[in-house]
Amino acid sequence: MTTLPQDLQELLARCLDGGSAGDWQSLHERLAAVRDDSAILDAYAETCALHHDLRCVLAPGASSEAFLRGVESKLNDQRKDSGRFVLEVAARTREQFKKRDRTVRNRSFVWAGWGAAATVLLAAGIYFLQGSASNRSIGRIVRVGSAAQLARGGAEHSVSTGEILFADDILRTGSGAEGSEIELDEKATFQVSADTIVVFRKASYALELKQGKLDISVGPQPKDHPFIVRTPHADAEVLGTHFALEVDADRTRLSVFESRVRLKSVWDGGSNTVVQAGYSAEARPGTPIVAIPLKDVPLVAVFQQGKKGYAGACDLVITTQNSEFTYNNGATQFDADQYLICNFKEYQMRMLMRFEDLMLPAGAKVVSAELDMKWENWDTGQSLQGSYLNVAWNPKARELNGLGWIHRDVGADWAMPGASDDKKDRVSGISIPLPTPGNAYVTATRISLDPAQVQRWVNAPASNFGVLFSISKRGDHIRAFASHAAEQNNRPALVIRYTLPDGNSATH
Amino acid sequence: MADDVLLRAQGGDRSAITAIVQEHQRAVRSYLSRLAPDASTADDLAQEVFLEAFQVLERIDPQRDLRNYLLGIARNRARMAWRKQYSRREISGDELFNALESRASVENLATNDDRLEHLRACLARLGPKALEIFQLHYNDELRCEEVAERLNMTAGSIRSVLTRGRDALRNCIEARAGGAATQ
Repeated sequence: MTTLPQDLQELLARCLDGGSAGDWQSLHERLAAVRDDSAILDAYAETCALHHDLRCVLAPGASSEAFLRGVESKLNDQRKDSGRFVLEVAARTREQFKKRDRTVRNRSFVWAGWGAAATVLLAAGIYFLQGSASNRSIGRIVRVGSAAQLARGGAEHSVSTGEILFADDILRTGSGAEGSEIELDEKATFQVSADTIVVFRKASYALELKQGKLDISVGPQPKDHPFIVRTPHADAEVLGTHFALEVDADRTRLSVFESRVRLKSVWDGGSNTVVQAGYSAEARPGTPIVAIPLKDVPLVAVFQQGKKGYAGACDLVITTQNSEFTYNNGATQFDADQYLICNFKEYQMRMLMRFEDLMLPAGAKVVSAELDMKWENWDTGQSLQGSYLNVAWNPKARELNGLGWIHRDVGADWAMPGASDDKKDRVSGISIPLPTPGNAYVTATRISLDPAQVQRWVNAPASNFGVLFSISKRGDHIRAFASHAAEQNNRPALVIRYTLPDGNSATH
Repeated sequence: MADDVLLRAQGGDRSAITAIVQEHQRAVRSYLSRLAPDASTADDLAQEVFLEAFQVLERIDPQRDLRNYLLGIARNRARMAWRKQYSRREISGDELFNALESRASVENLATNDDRLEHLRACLARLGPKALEIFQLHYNDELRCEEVAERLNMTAGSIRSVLTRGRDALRNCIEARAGGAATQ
């Protein structure tokens, strides 16, 4: 897609924003200079068309109905001026109708025709309503891994984040592909591993796992409508939980991380077993289902504000903005839906984030930890940086001399303003590798955290100082969705994978 | 094959006239949004297209493609608008019109309804702040300065979000249209 040259882009933006005649003339003069550049002309025309489309979609005054009313109103004005327009037209065309021999001779035939048409329309309406009911969306793709394809109605296409899912859609992930995250309407989310084929159903079972692995988290389900995942070898009926299903050629393996799942084999007369958290079981021919303790299979804990009652997430932005009014402490922002992180000439903003109350079972050993973040990003190549903080900061200190650019609490300052000291304010020598967020929209990134750091957060909550996000390059900026984001899915989530010492069960 | 709706309109059926506007307004408006000298006159020109067509309704051959007929009127209206605006100035309205007209593919207009569907889907993927800015600007018809005042941002930031957002929406629509085309 060609982008307009900067000056032309700015001129066009000014014009589309209700520019004056002079603005439009400046634009036309600039446009005349590039009239031989077809790519620029295309970009210009497409931007104009998009502006128009946006008005059609968002502005009631520009809708098709409003346009129709406008035409009808002008037609009526014409009729007032020149008599009864429609009758005139009819009179003028009568002779031509005779010539074409298309005059309708039988009025009753017309009425019969209209009656038939009305019946057809009614039937079509009923059919449409029924069709639309059966074609309701059943969920959406929250995060898409590489090389994931969605088959629908015999055609396949690459899936994109936010794509709506319908019953009978088939998702295939490629080999070596990063997993995709799916959210179903029935309060279920799951991660799809590489080389997996899953069919979305809206029947007696919700999903059909044909191949590969799913990591599933399901909220409470109605008793008369259990959440069932079907594999070639078994049905897994979810009793409210988090679990993984893995399908090989001759077996289905179930690992339960939280609560319980009923595994019902297709062999042995449909024998079934309720598998508890911390256990796994296999369905395969000739072997009864037996639950065995999970060995070396990491359990997963997800901490996200509002999810399953978790309320320990805390994030805010410290800034140099309005420093002149706050003795250089800036105007710290709390409780926002999104935070701007920036390094502008005029001011800077840095985001502090911490997950408190990381309740894991005693002896839990953190194997890995990831931070799932959503961004709103309009530029490529943002110089976003992440660091572990090394000193305490108090989000409750909201007074003038409280948490800000200079102070981290009442009576306590950052070693350098903005928590800038790489040795005292931040953990020395460890930075957080950040993936580059996509350009525009809500884009998701999964940030790998140092397991040792997160282990310290779990073991010694008093040393949990969280992380800091900043922008290093002057002029760059990005928006991060915060724990107060209106949409639950946009809130940051800390995902910890951990193992338990032998003999303990997973009961977090 | 004769256009039945056109025949009914020629026979004086008001509902058929309404149906003609409903069926073809998207294509005509979209075409003119690319060709008109400025955004505010595109819809005025589109209304004039239908009024002109209805004035000569009885002369339209029902065997002809009505959409192409309407787009022909639209092309002429746009050309006249450029000429009128730059009749005695240094810029050649004709040249600019010809340059733009050569890029405005009538074939693309066939997918107009899809474009709006794609646009709705792409808008749903905008971040809440960006969407709020688009809503305030387009739905509430606030100027950038007014949006900025309401959101405690600078007008430059608002303009930047709108510009980049439109670029991103174009990208998104193209990607979706491309995906649909390969299905």
